[in-house]
Amino acid sequence: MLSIENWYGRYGDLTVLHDLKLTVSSGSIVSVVGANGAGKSSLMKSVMGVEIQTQGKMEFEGEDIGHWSTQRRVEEAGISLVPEGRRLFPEMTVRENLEMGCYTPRARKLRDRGFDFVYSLLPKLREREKQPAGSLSGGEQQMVALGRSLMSQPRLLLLDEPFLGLAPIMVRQVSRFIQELKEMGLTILMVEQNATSSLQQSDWGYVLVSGRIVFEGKGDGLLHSQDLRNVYLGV
Amino acid sequence: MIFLQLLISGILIGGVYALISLGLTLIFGVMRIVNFVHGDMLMVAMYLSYWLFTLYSVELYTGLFLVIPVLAALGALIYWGVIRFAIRRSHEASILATIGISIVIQNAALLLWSSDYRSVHNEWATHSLQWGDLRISAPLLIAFIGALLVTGLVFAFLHYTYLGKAIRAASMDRFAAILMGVNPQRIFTVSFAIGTALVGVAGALLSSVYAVHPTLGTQFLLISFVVVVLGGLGSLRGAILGGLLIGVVETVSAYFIGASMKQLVYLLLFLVILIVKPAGLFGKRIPEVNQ
Repeated sequence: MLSIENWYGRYGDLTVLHDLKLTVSSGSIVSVVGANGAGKSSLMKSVMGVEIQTQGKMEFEGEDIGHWSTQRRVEEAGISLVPEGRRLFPEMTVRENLEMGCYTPRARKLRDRGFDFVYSLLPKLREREKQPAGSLSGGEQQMVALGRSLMSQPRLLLLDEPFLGLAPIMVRQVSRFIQELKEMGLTILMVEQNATSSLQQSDWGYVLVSGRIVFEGKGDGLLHSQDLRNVYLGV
Repeated sequence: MIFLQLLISGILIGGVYALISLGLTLIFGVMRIVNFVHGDMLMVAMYLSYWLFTLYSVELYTGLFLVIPVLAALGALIYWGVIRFAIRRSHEASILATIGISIVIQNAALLLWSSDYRSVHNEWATHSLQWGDLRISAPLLIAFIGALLVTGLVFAFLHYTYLGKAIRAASMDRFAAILMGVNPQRIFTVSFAIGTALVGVAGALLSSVYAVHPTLGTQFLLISFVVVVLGGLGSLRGAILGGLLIGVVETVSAYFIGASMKQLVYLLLFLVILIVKPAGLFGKRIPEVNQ
């Protein structure tokens, strides 16, 4: 579904992504794990085409989208990012946040269906509908952020550190939710520092060190490999 | 009784200050730029209303239908012509750019229309309503009602339309708004146009209350800075309450201390706010946004 090759990313003169090659096949969960500052968020931003200058080849379903604007990637390709730290609109209600999710004309046409879908998956959000998003707990905010992205009718969902700052019980819940989304046919690319939680449920995994991919392999295989342990202490 | 009179007059003019400041705070909230052209746009709108009235006998309130689109277009033009380039650079760049435009506009007005004070003498201009000892100036009352209506419309726009919600979203978190598929250039252009149109409405409403001259904008810009900082930078509710408060403070102090000293009082108030509560009444610390 998505493949990038010979992929570089830089902020001004500072190159943070070096010659990446990565493939996400349709219907799979792919994780990129790495320590703080390895370039995980930069990778996500580069796929969205926001805040970072890129160079190289990015194909989505065979189409070269490397030069597309962010709006086009969201609307036409159907790529949506759940950013690190949720990045909700704090003074807007939960419902308004979800509405912003279907901002593009394509998603807006399916607005009602989107709400039904998101509320059926995350019934808690319906109860919180009228509350300002900023007043929710971390776990609930993560659910709003996921719901907001789902409102855009995505085909490829990007998750930037979905487990960051969540209590263990919420980590399991989010993890289960990601699994459900996969079963519904969504393709998921996530970057995580928490290698255990992410690789466990991934079909394929990559290890990112200082902006370079150093290993790749089957999700749980990679998790138990000595290689990963060597570069990635504390797993 | 005199206090009630002052309170009412203060609230009436404060409503117009609120409208002026609403535009300034909207532009700041979305783009994080301090727009020094804002006051001059008020001046341009007042001249526009003045000439429409004097040359073509267009009533001020009918003239609004021309003033609003012209000022909105002017705002969009300023954004596309200059601000768009300055915004990618430092804060200083956008400050200098807007000060530059301000100087150009003021001098163009001086060249075109001289430094004479001009005001619209329509049939309302000297009317006032009277209840017992209370006197209420008719043009000021109309200006207040107009400001109230327009403010209500802006709030409805920001809360009940997709474009309005996108503007609010972009002012809370620009990065996240872009991820939603919001085109930031479009949002910036629209915000600048709306912010400028709002000050345009205020200008048209004020042109029978105050006499217009080329540097009039500076004094209103100063007031709206005080209002916006008092209310909290980027806060729309803050701009409204701040506007009303400054209107009352100014009117009361003009009466008790003298009209020439009224600026002293609200500038002192401004200093106190900066020291005691720098984020303003409704302000939060707003993160810097880099692009």
